[in-house]
Amino acid sequence: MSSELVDLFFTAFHILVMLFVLIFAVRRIVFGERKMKLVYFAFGMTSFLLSDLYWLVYGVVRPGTRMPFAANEIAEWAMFLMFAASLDAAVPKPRRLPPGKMLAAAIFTLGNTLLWIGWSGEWVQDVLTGVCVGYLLCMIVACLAQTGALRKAEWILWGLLCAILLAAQAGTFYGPEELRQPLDTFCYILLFVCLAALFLRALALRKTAFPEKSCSLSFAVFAWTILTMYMSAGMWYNFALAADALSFPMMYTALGREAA
Amino acid sequence: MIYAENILLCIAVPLLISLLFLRGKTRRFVLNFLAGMVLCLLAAYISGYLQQASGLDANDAAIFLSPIVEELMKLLPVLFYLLVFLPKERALTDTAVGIGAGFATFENCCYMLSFGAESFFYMLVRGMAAGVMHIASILATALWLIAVRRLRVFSFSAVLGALSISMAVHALYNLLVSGEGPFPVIGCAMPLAAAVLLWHLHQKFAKH
Repeated sequence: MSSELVDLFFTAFHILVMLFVLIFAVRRIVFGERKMKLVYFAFGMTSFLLSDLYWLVYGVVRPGTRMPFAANEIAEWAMFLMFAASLDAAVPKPRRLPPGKMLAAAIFTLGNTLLWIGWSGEWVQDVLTGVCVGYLLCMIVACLAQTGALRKAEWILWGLLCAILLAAQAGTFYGPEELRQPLDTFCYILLFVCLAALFLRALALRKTAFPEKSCSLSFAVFAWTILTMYMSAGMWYNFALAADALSFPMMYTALGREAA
Repeated sequence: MIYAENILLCIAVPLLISLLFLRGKTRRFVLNFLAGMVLCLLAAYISGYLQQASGLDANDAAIFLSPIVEELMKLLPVLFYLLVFLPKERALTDTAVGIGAGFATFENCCYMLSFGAESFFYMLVRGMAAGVMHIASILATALWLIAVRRLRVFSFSAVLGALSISMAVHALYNLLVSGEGPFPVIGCAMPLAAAVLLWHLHQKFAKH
């Protein structure tokens, strides 16, 4: 099977999962549960679904070519903002904004944005994507802090892991030539180990008495899968895409439990 | 080379005069139709500028940039009307359809003057595809905005969501018709399918 066909298969899987989750969410909204968190989630899913559909069609119509700036990017920005709004509505207020953690999230986003610009060379769209992703990350961090989903040691560990990841990714650009390949492999391992750890943590919290914790963590899983996708290429990208697809039912059930 | 401003002038003047004699919903529709034609011209100017600035060729600019510019231009008056005049739902969808119809009509006029109108079949397909697509995309935006208002989640992100939906649908159409093999057929069928779906949704919205 050619690599383009494999890419299309993974994208189609992603679309199918989104479609199912969207149908469930819309049914829930139509049959009475008009909670803001579910409405925003469904709207965000619709935007992402269309963006993905565009990506799929592009892959079929123009295989092997690089996509210029297109409407699907705007759909992704909308999706980030609407998911942030959904999480904002899911976690009780007043929101306690932890300044240090928020600053760390902003710096992490800035680092990622600089790396995206380094990879693609497209300033405007990467800066705008960075703003939207940054807003979502800050919202996730605020909600994680608000709900106490992570212990102090875990916050420090995640902070360190994010710093190491950014440094290693920067090393793949500016480091010595012979170190670039090992650093690249190290980044993939780190990204996917962290992803697995977040998944397991979110699954463990699935049935606790504090659904808002599970909600915050499942959105964190989603954000990590997105960052993993943006940092990956080839088959790694497809694995991240599959993980991203699995984060949708996780977010939906977390939101649904909260709403119940 | 066509003189789009002159074409607009020629079509707009009778419509402008007719406004003096029209009242109520008909007058509003004609006004929106005119607004749609003006927006089409403005969108063409902006797309042309962006094409130069981005370095894309004319074909790629039409496929990738035009949906973004055109849908943004169509959204702005609908959003203005919604926020300033707080219209009823029916009035909002009527406005959206008027703007979409005007936009599509002017675009088709310019297309026919550029490429000719000899083929009856091609003109029919063009009218049913590109023409319907402009109405379907702006109507989808209007219905999204109505849903957002009903569900009390009106915000910047929700408006961006509305815009992203119309842009994505329009961009998908452009991408499909630019392809080869069965893709242009799928692309041309898409606006009609979307119009049928939106008509169904529109009826549902009107009932509930």
